[in-house]
Amino acid sequence: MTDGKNRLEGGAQDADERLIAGIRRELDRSCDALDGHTLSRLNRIRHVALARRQSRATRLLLPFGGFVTACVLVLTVTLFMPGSLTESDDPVPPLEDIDILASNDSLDLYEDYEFYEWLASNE
Amino acid sequence: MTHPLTTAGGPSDALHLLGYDGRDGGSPPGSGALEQQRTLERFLAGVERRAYRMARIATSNSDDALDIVQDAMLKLVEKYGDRGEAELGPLFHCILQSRIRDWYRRSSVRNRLRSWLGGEDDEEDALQLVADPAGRSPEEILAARGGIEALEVALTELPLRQQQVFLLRAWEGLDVRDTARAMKCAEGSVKTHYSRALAALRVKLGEHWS
Repeated sequence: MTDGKNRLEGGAQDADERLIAGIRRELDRSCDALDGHTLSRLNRIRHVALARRQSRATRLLLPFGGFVTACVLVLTVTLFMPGSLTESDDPVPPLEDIDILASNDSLDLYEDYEFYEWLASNE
Repeated sequence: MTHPLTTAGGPSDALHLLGYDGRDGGSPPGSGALEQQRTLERFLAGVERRAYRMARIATSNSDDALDIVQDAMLKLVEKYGDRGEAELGPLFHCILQSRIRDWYRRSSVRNRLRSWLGGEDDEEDALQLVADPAGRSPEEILAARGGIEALEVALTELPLRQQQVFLLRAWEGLDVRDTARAMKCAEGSVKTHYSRALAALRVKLGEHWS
């Protein structure tokens, strides 16, 4: 009795498996038989999707690339351009010269300072 | 079940998109991104026909099916383009099923609105009313054309959830858990939908494939 029931269930299962295999085979065959127009559209859809991913990646990298370029430019200008900060002919006077520039005395006095010092020592 | 992941367009077109022709032999710059692009292309090329057929069976309309596949591919690439190949399948089917459900909802609303605004809209496609010149019944036509036509009719007549669960399980080879995720339902519901779909198909197609 139980054997018979099991055999019946086994047979039904086999039939289902055959049915599923047949359905699968038929669906696969229908994919292979798609018309050229549909295949071409599917191909285009795939390429659009992949191209969009590519352009998105480029768009994400763009600000970073711009930042790096700007940094390199600033560094280049700072280090290598003539008249950059590394040279000593800075138009801003050093702090120790501020007193001289601010005083009311003639600048000639300071230019001939050594002469006046010698004159004073010989008098 | 094996599905050969063949590219339809010969050599990888994604490489050309990236401007790399592979002639220098070594690893190209950014080869990780390139490899991922290749993985994606391989996956999409492998799944596109089956995705189209699933959407076509759900909508009975080629253009709508292509739109659904396009949306699903764009969404997958945009949101999950960096995922590994093993993850892409279940993710893609989640998106595809979501798009199919959206389409189904939209068309239900559209049909309801049409029936409210335009009254009884029972106009049938004129071509469907033309009798077969040989005077055969639909069953005889199906029997004569065999396999795929009978299968399409049988699948189209299934409720959407049964239909898609059956296709995901039997054709795509997704397990119960991934099918449940794709269909946004419980695993128990997947089993119920699947067994009901199988029973209905057994009745309708038994004579063809048993």
